[in-house]
Parts: sequence; structure tokens; C-alpha cells
Amino acid sequence: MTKEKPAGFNRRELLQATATVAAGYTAVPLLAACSSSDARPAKIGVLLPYSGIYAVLGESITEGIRMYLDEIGNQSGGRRIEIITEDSQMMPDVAQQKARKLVEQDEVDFVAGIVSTGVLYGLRDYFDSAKKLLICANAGGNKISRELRTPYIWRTSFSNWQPNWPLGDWAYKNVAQKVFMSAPDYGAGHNMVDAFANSFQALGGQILGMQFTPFPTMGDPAPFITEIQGLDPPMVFCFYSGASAVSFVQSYGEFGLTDNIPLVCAGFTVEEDVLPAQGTAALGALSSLHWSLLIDNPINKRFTAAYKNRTGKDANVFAVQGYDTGRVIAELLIAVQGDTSDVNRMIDYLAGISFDSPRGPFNLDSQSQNPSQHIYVRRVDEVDGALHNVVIEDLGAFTDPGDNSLG
Amino acid sequence: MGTERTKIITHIATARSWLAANSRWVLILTLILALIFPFSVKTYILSLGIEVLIFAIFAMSLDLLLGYTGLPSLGHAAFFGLGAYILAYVSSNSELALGLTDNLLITLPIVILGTALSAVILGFLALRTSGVFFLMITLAFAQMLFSIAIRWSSVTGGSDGMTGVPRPTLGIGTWHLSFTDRADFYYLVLAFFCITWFLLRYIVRSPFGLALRGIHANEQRMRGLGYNTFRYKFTAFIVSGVIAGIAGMLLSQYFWHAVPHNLFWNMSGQALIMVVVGGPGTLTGPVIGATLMRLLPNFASTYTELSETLMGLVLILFVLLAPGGIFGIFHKKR
Repeated sequence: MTKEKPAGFNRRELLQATATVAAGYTAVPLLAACSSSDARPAKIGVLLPYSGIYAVLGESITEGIRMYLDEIGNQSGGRRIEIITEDSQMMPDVAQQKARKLVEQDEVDFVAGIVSTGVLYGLRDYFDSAKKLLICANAGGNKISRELRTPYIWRTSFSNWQPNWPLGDWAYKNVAQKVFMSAPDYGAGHNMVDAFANSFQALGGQILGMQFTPFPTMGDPAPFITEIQGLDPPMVFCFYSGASAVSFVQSYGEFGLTDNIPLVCAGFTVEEDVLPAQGTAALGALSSLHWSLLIDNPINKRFTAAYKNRTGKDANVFAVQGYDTGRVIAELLIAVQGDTSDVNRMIDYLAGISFDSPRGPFNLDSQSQNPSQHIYVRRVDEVDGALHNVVIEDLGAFTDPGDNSLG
Repeated sequence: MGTERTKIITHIATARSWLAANSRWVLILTLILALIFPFSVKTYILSLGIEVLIFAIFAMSLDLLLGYTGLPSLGHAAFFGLGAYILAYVSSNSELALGLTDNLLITLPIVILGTALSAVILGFLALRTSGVFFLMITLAFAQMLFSIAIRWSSVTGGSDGMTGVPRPTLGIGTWHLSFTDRADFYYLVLAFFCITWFLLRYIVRSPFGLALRGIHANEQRMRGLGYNTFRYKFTAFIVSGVIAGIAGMLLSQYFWHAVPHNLFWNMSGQALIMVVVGGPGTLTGPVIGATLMRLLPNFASTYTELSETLMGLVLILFVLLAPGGIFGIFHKKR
């Protein structure tokens, strides 16, 4: 038997291959170092869900940011502005790896976006240790303005507490002194219920009962509506969003409660994205939010018209938050004259940012790192053949208290 | 066409025999590359490396069940998530958790004990069934833990999960190591990975491992030969559960949080796909599978919203064309 040379690699070829791989490894960082030049654009990494059930929110926020940047010619503080989008897929782990990609590989100056509170809390420690700025354009978890607060995360949207605490006070004075409460059993549901209950009870209001429904899928709302029907409270407070907002409110109508028991709710329950599907069951629902399509100020009128012109759709609260996120970043770039190298200096300037937004006066509060903004009470009415939230009262400016003293 | 096909087959055969002849060199080379990895790549790539290694540990643990013993678990995320939550509960500085210590000498035994205990309970019930019933009962167990994680918010943090999990330390008395830095943490994960790989290789080559393969091939016959097959499957189930728990522990330390998603059936499904795509019953195959399944969607999702569809196609192709997985293409099964 003759001994054959084994086909394929021999040891020398193996060594050559190793050397090639090693050379490749060292070349990558070298090349990367050469490619970064001086006139760098300011980069915004936008991290949002573009797939799954919250894709619409992700797209509205992105459209809002792009719209503002287009209005100012995509430059501010002497620097061109560039956007890099990434899909968070609504998963905290995926979002954190995407944040690393944006910060460390794409070398963005800011990260903006974030729809869900779970993702926001999951990113908190990364931004805190990386010392990078995260501008949160939606997720409302109270804790990020309170026990999880870090200098590196600022919010342009709201805290869950914000629209609901003033509403508890208003509902006691204007609707009824007793309430039944319903919300999904997760962080935001509890945040909103607690805030409403805090101011409502402070005036002597009485809570007749509470129900926390399964999250993320509520299933058939009938048993929950039946519970409410049986108790026959003088007022119901609820918070739902998306598909469960539609089925809860529809069922509320089918059981004949719409005309008999006033429905008071967190604004998202009857926002523009769900109103058409809810139909007349939502008529008369009273809600509070930091914006409404019909707020009567010139900036909002211009914004809603331009948004419709641009996308063919009515604006929604998420688009407004995106628009203001774009503006906050642009104003910040002006304040630091385009120099994004010192994050602490940027944080100092962030605290002073204020402007007139489509939602009214907007100030970034240095204490809660959350906007101080007006809260509006709205009622669902038919306007020109379609259902919209008509503003019935401006409750004035509120910001998150920054601790858990008020619910 | 025909000659092209023969050419490819010859190439694959060549690669196979080369791999078989030089497996030790491949191993050493891989280890060297793994050791110099942190010095030669950007920090973001390093973070992907850590993620891949953690999921590789997870996939290898499932391979012991699926590939070697023939137990198709669709609830392996139960142990993965449990490992993450136990660690978070012991060491997180959030107000929900105990916040005792981040010292691995204390946290690791607790995680091992906790996941082993739950594997004993589930194994005792689930291993009385097989096939689809085993799949369903493991799935149900994991989903039960998932809903507990979401609902029992005063302990688990509910849908927001548990934040503030520190990176681990290792120390007795004055001797002290910290793995806060990303590169240091990489080496810790690499150490866990190597220990797992060698341990599992030792197990599957031992008489115990051969008995597991025997059970996979024909359980009736093994029983006929006088093996108490339940005891073998039970032990494999516990070992597998504990290793998955350790992977989960590392994940929560890496991401600084434990979230309900770690327990979701989607996570079990991912592990299953890693094993199937990589090559069940090969240990190294699932490592390759984990690499592919974590990196491909990560890069693809930057360019398209259809990354999940892409992953589905990859899976279908492998199941149809290469049932032995990637590893099976280049490696003849003994």
C-alpha cells in the first residue's frame, strides 16, 4: 500500500492561512482609523421597532424626526445631520446589541427612539456605562425619571404619571367622586392607575374597585365589562392601547355602558390610531394627553397640515414626539456649536432647552429629565363626519415629580 | 452540471478527511483565535462574540438532550430564563431583589442549585412521556414560568424585568477578580464555554454518553439489555438544565438585566433551530448554529424588516437539504 499525501491543506498552507487571517484581523481597525476624517456629520442613531405590532409607532416617530430635520435642511450648529435606523424588534437584548452597534461601530453622536418601557429599562445600564446620550421619544416608564434616572437618558415624550395625575383631580371635580379602574397587568398599566388614584384620593375620591387584565393579550373583554356592569360605578377610569384599546372600548359600547357610565381614560386609549376602529362606542370618552390633533395653536396647525401633506395620513402623538425629538437634538447642536465631543457639556445645555411645540410650550426639566408640558382634557366627538379628540380644557403645565411621592 | 456536482462532493470529502486528520490543530488554532479575539476586533464585534458564546453554551446544553438522547425539548428556555432570574434576584441592586453579592463563588452554586432543582421537578414529570408529549409538557412548563415572570411583578419586576444586574466578580478574602470590563467578561464567558465543551465531550464519550445514544437509537432494546433508561435520561436532563441555567446567568450579567423574554417559547425555539441547523448530536454543530442564528438576523435586520422570514427560509433549507446540519456536511457521523 502506498502512502498518499492527504489531499487539501498541509501544515505550511495552514500556517499561511493563519497568517492571512491574523493580518486581516489587524487591518480592520487600521482601516477604520484612516476612514474617519474631520468634517464628520452629526449622526443620530434611531432605535425603534420597525417590525411586529408596534411598527406603526416606530414609523410615525421616524417620520416625525425626518420631517423636522428636513425643515431645517438637515443641518444644525454647523454640522450636517445624518440618521441611521435600526430595528429594536421590541426585545431588550436585541435592542441593547443594536445600541452597541450604533454607538461603537457607527459612532453616532446620539441615540434616539425607544417605544417600550421594557426596552428602555434594559438599555439604561448600557448608556449609563457608555456615557452616551439617549433621547427617549416614547417609552413612558416612570422609573427612568425616578429611581433609574441617569444623566445620559433624557425624554422628549412623557412619563406615564404625567397625563394621569392631573386627570384624577379634574375627574373628581368634573365627573364623579367614585371610580372603578381597569388596566392591563403590566408596568405602564400600574403606573397610570397609581397616578390617577393618587390625586383622585387626595381630594377624597373613592375607588370602588380595580381590575388588572392579562397582558400582552387581554382575550375576550366581556368578563371584565360584565364586572363593571354589575358594580354600576358612576365613572370608569381605564388605560389600554392598540388592539386591546379597540376591543375594550367596543365591548364597553356593546354592553350599553357608553351612554350610561362616563369613560375617563389615559389618552392613548382613544388616540387617533384606534378611534376609527372603535367607532361610536368611543363617543364622549374623556381622556387626557399632552397633545391632540385639534389643539388650536398655529404651530400645531402647520405641523398637522404638513404631516398630512407629507405622508397622506393624519398626524398622531408619536409623530409629534418624533418631531420634537428632532428639534431637541437640533437645538442642542446649535447650543454646543456642533461640538458633540463633551457629553457633560451637552447635558448642561439639554436642561435649558425650551421651545413652542405642536403640543404647546415644551421645556426639558433638569430635575426629572422629562419635558414639562401642558396636559389637555379631550372628549371624543364627531368632527366633519369623523371621530376626533376635541380639546375641552387645558390643565396647564406638568412635569414628572421625579420621585414616587405623588403616585 | 454532473461534473460540477462531483467536484463539490470531492471538495467536501477532501475537507472532511482533512478535518478528521487535523482536528487537534483546528482545535488549537480556534483556541488561539478565541484568545486574541478581544485584541483584534472592535468593541462591538467583541460584544457579538460574547453573545454568540453564551448562546453556544445554551445550544450545546440542548444538544445533549436533543442530539444525543433524542429528547425534543421545546421548553429549554425555562432553565435559561430561570438561571437569569435567579442570578438577578440574588445580585441585582434593584429594590425588588436581594442584592446580596456579585461573587461567582456564591452566585454560581445558587444558580446551579436552583436550576437543578427545577430540572428535577420537571424531569420527574416530563420524562414519563416521550415524543410530542414530551415536547408539549416542556413547552407548557416554560410558558408557565414566563407568565409567572410577567404576573408576579413584586418579585420578578413584571414585564419590565429586573434591572441593575452587576457584572460578576470572583474572590476569596483579599484575592479578587472583577469582570466589569467587556474584554474581561469575554474571557470569563470563554472559560465557561470551554469548560462546557470539554465537559460535554467527556460526557458523551463516556459509557454514560454511549448509553444515552443507545436510548436515542432504541430505548426498548436498552431497557431489554437491563438499563434503567429513566435514570439515564433524568441525569442527562438535569445536567442539560443546569448548563442552560449557567448560560442564562451569563446573559443576565452581560445585559445587566433579566427579562421575561428569556423564558419565552421563542427562545426555546431559537435554541432548537441552532441545534438543528448546526447539526444535532455533534456538540460543535450547535456552536456553529448559534453563531449563524445570532449573527445573521443581527446583520440582516439592519438592511431589511424581513430578517425573521430569512431565518425561516434558512431553517427550511437545512431541514430539507442537510438534515445533519452544517456540521453534518463536513463531518461524517460516527
